Amino acid sequence: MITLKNVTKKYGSFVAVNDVSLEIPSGGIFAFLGVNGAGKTTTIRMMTGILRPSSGSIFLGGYNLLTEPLKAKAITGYIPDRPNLYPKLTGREFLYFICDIYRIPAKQADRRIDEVLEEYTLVNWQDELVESYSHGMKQRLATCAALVHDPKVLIVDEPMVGLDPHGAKNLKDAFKRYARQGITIFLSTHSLNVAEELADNLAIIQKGSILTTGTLSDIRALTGKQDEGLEHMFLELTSAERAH
Amino acid sequence: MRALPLLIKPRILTMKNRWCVGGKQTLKEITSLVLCILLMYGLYVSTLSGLKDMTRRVESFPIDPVVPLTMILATLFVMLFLSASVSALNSFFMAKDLDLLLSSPISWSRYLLGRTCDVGFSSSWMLLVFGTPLLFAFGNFYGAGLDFFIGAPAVCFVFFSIAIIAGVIAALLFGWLIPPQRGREVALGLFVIGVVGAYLSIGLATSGRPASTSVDSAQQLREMSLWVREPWLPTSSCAQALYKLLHGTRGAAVIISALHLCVASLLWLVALALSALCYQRAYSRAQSDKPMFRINSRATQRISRWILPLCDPPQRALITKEIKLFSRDLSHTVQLGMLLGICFVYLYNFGILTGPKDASPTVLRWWHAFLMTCNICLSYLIMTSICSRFVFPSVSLEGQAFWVLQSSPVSLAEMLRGKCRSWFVPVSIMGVVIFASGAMALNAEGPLLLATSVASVILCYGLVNLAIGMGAIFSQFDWEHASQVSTNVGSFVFMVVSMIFLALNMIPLGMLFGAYIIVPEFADNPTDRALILGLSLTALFLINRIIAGWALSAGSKALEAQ
Repeated sequence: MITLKNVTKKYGSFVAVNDVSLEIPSGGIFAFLGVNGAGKTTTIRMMTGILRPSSGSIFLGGYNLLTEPLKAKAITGYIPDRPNLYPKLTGREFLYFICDIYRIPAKQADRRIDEVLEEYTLVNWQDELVESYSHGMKQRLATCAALVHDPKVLIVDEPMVGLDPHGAKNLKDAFKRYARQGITIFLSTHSLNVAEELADNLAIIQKGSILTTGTLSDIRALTGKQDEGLEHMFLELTSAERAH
Repeated sequence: MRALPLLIKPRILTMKNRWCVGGKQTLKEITSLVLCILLMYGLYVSTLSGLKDMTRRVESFPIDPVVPLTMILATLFVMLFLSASVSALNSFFMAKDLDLLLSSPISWSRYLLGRTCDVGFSSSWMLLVFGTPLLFAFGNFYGAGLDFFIGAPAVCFVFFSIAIIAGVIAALLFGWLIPPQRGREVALGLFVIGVVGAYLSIGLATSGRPASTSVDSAQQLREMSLWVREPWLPTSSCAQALYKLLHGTRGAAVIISALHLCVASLLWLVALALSALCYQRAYSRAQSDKPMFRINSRATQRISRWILPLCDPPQRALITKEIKLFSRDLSHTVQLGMLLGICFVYLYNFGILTGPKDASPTVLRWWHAFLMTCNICLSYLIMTSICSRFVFPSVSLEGQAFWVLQSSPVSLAEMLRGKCRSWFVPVSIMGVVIFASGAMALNAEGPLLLATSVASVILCYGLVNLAIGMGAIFSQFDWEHASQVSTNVGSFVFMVVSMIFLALNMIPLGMLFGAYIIVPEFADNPTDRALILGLSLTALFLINRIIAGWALSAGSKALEAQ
């Protein structure tokens, strides 16, 4: 469902993402791990069409993001790490805006908006301006916007930032449910326990390059530590790479 | 004073970093600087030749240098005051760094000083670009000595600081007296005032015509010169100080400047007292975001579907978003009110312009064609300033939320077209009112009035597309507060480019007015008149179509390259 082929992003002489290739099957949760500045957000911004790769290609649901960007974006939902939304729209107006952008018919839009607002407990705030929302509420509204058009691919950058424990628990449960429904979730996080709990597959990125990719068992086999948690393995892998 | 460098340091460092970033950004900055220098040189040369020409032509009507100086200073003073008010409103109540600053251990006076410097910095650079060449041209024309070239900038600095502090006071008062949650009611009030103002101005412009045709324009100018020389006006005294410096009388200039300094200090004390008294309350209230009326989101969506039934859903979404964001932003409504005021003054002034007394019919026809052309040029300038305030910043005002559009299945070109469609209708309506009112004030014939109205719509089409395209080329999404976008270098480049396109547009329009009004052969032949009218407007449309296409394509490419 998601394919990255030799994707590189350069800013002048600085290489932010270096020759990244990934193949993610449909209907599962893929965790993308890395330390700060490893290149996670840059990779995600390229996958959502916000940044253009310096080289390489990205396919979402079989559509090449460079040659068929609109089709690729139409099946994708994106939840950014910082939920910067239009402050002078109400939550519901923002969702109407998203529905119109994704060409969802009026009746279906009304129904879907009611559903997502209900699911993310924003019904009582739907007619308030976004500027009056807390960070967590904005994060939930951004999640609603990413889901309102029933995407096949969901790209999520640090989803737990700003959420209270209830919100975080609900979101984790929701991700599991969406994965069961066949949505492919690409989840970038530093939160190793979240990745460990949710991910079917994962990749670790360091200094713009993929260190390793596979299931948790594959990584355990690679490090030779069958009984260790993800945190220990992550620290070992990234520390070894840092030492180089 | 220790806080001053601390508070303006981020701005200076940001500027430095923009120059040092390299690549396209540095190229953009260099282009802007070169354009800026060229414009300053052009202003200097044209002012100098204008002064020489005026002296040669109107020997029977010698103009005291104090009169044009006062008029120029008054215009610049009002421009700076308006710009500083809007900038201060944003800087004191809506800037993103306010939480950081207000939670730091900085005293009110230092905070106010730092913020005022920030306001002055962001609102006065255009004044520097326009004012400096005028000042130097005057100095050169009247053969001023070194005293003038050193003293005049100091005199002007003190004088214009009055406008900046007055702007800060106006913003503090506004924030204190008008709760932000009443923003829409204020907008409604301003709209009503605007409509009534437009109606009255048209009435004023048209009703005085028969009587005023017998009045000599020179006489009116003479009367105006008496009014602007009222000694109690700061603009008049500043002009006097500059006049004294022109003639090497340093002492009088120092006294006048000292008086200005006293006025500025008094205003500063008022600002300080006002900020200590009301700022914290006004700022706290500005943070309470609840609007007076609860918004019914379902109803607003139904209305947008009803108003734009044939519109493609993404286009409808973009248009309604633009309208909602604009109508709910307090700083926009304040700017709109100020610009409506400027339009009113423009229309009133145009209404009193008349032809020379006892002139021959040929001269009157030339004069009429000249005034019709002036009307187009001046109206275009007003529309440019409106576009630079509202349309040009439209792309940048997406701000940190731009990712929403970037990651959605809408191309950047379509997004820009959506913005153009959103702005085209209101700008055109405003344009038709301004252009046609001017033409009515000049007693234009029916077909000519219609042609002016059609031309205004075509010109607004080109201008809106140009503003959106240039806004995309010079997009800046990481602003501290919204007013920074409309006062940045890109906005200046947009105005310069629009002037170039105005010159291009004046070719068919000049032909139209020239042939229609001046050539007597056309007067008796309706077919020829219709032909010249059609040809000119078609040429005008083609020019603006090309401008629009170029601007949107360049803007779209610039956004994609980011």
